[in-house]
Amino acid sequence: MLIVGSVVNIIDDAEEKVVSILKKYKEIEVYSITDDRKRIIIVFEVKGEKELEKICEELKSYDEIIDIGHHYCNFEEAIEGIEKGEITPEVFRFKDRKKINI
Amino acid sequence: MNISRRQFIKASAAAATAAAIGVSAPKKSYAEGGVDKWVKGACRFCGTGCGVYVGVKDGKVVSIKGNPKAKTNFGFLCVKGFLAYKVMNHPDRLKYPMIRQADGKFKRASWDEALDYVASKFKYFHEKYGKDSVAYYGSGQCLTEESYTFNKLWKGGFGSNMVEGNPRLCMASAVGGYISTFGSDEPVGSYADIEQANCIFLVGSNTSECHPIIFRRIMRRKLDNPGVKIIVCEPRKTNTAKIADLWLPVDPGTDLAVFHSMAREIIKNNWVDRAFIEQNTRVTDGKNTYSFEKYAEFVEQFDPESVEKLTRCPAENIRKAAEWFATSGASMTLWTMGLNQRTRGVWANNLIHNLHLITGNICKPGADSFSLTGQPNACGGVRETGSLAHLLPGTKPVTNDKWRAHVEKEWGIAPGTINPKPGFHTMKMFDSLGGEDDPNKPIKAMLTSTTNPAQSLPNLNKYVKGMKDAFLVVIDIFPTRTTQLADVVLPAAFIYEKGGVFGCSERRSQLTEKCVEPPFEAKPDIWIAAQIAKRMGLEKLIPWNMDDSMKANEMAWTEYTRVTKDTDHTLYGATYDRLKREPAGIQWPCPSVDHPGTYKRYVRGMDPMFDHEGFLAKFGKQIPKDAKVYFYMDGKNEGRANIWLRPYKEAAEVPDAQYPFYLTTGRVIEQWHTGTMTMRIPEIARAHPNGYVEIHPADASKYNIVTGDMVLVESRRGKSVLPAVVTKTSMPGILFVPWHDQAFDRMINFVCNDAVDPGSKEPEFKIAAVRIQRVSGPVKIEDKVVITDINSAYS
Ligand code: SF4
Repeated sequence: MLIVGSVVNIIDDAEEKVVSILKKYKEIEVYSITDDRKRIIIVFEVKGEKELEKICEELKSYDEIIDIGHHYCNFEEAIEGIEKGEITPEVFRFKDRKKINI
Repeated sequence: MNISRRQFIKASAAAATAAAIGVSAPKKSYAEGGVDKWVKGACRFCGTGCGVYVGVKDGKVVSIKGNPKAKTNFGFLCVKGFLAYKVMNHPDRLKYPMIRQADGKFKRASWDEALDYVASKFKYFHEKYGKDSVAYYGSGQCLTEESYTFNKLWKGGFGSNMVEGNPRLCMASAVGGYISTFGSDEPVGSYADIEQANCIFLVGSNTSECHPIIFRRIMRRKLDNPGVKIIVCEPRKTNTAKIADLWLPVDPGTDLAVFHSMAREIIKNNWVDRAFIEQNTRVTDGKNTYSFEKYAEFVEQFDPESVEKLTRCPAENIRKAAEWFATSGASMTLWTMGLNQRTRGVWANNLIHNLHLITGNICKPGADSFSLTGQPNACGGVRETGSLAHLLPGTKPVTNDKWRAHVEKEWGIAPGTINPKPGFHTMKMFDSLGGEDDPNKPIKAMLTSTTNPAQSLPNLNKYVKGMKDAFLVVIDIFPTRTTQLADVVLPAAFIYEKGGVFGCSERRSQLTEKCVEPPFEAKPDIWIAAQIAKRMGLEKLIPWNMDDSMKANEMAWTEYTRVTKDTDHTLYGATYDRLKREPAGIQWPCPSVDHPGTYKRYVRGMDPMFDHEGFLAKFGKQIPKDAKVYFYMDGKNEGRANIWLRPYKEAAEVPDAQYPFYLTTGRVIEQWHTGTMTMRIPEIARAHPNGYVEIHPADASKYNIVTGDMVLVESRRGKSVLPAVVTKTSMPGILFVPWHDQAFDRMINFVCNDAVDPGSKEPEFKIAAVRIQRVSGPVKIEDKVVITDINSAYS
């Protein structure tokens, strides 16, 4: 699970519309908005970067959303998973390749 | 992670993000985010130099956030920046030193065994074949302290200038351009000029993909100020062109004519800044100086219509670009490899500088001629510490008697130890590398650190045998194409496992403190360098051989800043203590601990060197009291920058009947260089899992090629078979291939040209003449290829 703090940059007078778009996503929590009403602070809770990227792409397809900038990323569950051997970073290997025994 | 902890982290993420854009934090949040400590540092990837905070919990890196106080990224990161943790925790990490045995297989060794072996081989070659028989090949990804240490060990210890680094392959032309125009390397201004520029000229830089945070700043500038003009000059219409007001499409290498033509239009329309030209510049061809009228006469031949025929860039676009550039009031050019990786890279850099000089678009807010760096520490580490065959610390030439004597004194070595003759540049170095039994190969051994030449050199076929035959020691964190040719592999610590300084494109040095311990037996490079030195009787020269990497780094840094004190590149005021405290790092020149660092050079009141007695005395400079702008490193001591008369010259190889296409190579956003790290991050690898060749629909239909077909791309040097992507991104006649794929058949560097720029010795990666042939329809190819088996063969 990834927790990512981000800023959504929006066009003028689109705050309400964008907030309602954002609220449709269960993976997004809307936290605050800047005084100039141009930037919205949100937090994503997603399974991984793939999902994050997918949602961001969707969001950027709205005319009212100019850009999404990420600032904070917490991935401690992923580390725990890697350490416990539950998650192996997916790596594609050469065929017929033996690992050196060290 | 339980729910309350998750809620807590989410609140912290919101608070930190809010704080990053200057909004007060929601009440329930705490900026600490449930980690034991936040450690300040820099991003490991591109040369933007984004500031990060690394969150550590129970001795593990669990979080990364942008540093809101960093003047490079103001708190934001791109996906590469915060996925660095996956690299650190990857199971493919090299864990132990390994030595290749007689049967060709590697065997695990202890550090003592491996280091003793390396030192004994180096000693043997030195004694038998002379001091230049062992070479060092470093990287713009090494820390400044590491580059400095290896450079000192070679030049001061072995008395050999056989020291090179991969910035020769990416930045050397920019260095040549800055030095030949302004007298001193690296940009005049800073990224901060982006927010003040009214016209931004992007040349040979796919900024949106290769420097995403810089692109974000450019984009914000444009969105907030729609009147700002963005001009993109590229053979390809990349993502970067999305925000452009004007695209200048050009055949690879022909942009020299476009720049000359812009200069012609500027002069014709009297958009020049006469006062700036008269006070601060001279026109030269390198031998003689001329009047500005001579320059005007010279560029007259480049009328836009003729240039359009030569370059395919519409004359109208050239005229418009010239007008916007010259009349905006503040124009900034940014470029990367598209300008540098050429046999006329230095000239291309000079011509961009020309445009700035003739319009006075330099040395004032928003106006600058700015080379972006591809690697995180090509500027700070390799250029500034002089870790190239012809340089000494402070980017001063080894041929300079006075500077050699100065460095020898500072290093406490006998006068005459440093060789006055430059070593071999990268391509010559690899061409001279080979086995003991080959009398034509004078370099018998090489130590490489944090780079992958067996994939990254152009015209690879020519150089692989030498690497294989020679005694090759590789320091890295993962198996690579180069470890496949190595005799000894030494596992390295990652930046957050050792700490140290990176200096980014805008002359800014930032310290990363060690966050966690390296995995298994991986060690910092600085420790490896010092241990080799110790075994070769050079312990006095490299005394920082302790296990504490931050202590060793600090000793190396302190010495480096002392050696380069009172130079135009001084970081003497950037002590380690201060770097630990400064949230945004420090830009040189920074001559004293009370100096804030320099935003813009060569401007009185901004640049401390105008009044720095030590510098003026050491370099015999006299700056007139009334000079507001003064290019004080001018070789002629007149304080002037050079407007260069550079003739038009085409690329080393241009398409002909036999090889009718231009091939150009580059990067994509997700992959970083040879994919050693990024290809191991699945979310990243997924986006561009393999190399491919972009073909324009017009060419594709001529050759009966559709997207997915396998296509042979062949030059006079080598071939590659890649899936086709039919797209209008490039112009007809131009093919593009990214170079991150490690699969042997798709390694495009076999095809690239190794012809070098005579000025910078940088090879022409960006331009080769090739032919294509459809090989088959779509086939299932192996993708996301990385070298995982240390014993695998180079094939
Ligand atoms: S822009 Fe470059 S330095 Fe910044 S986070 Fe991305 S890769 Fe790192």
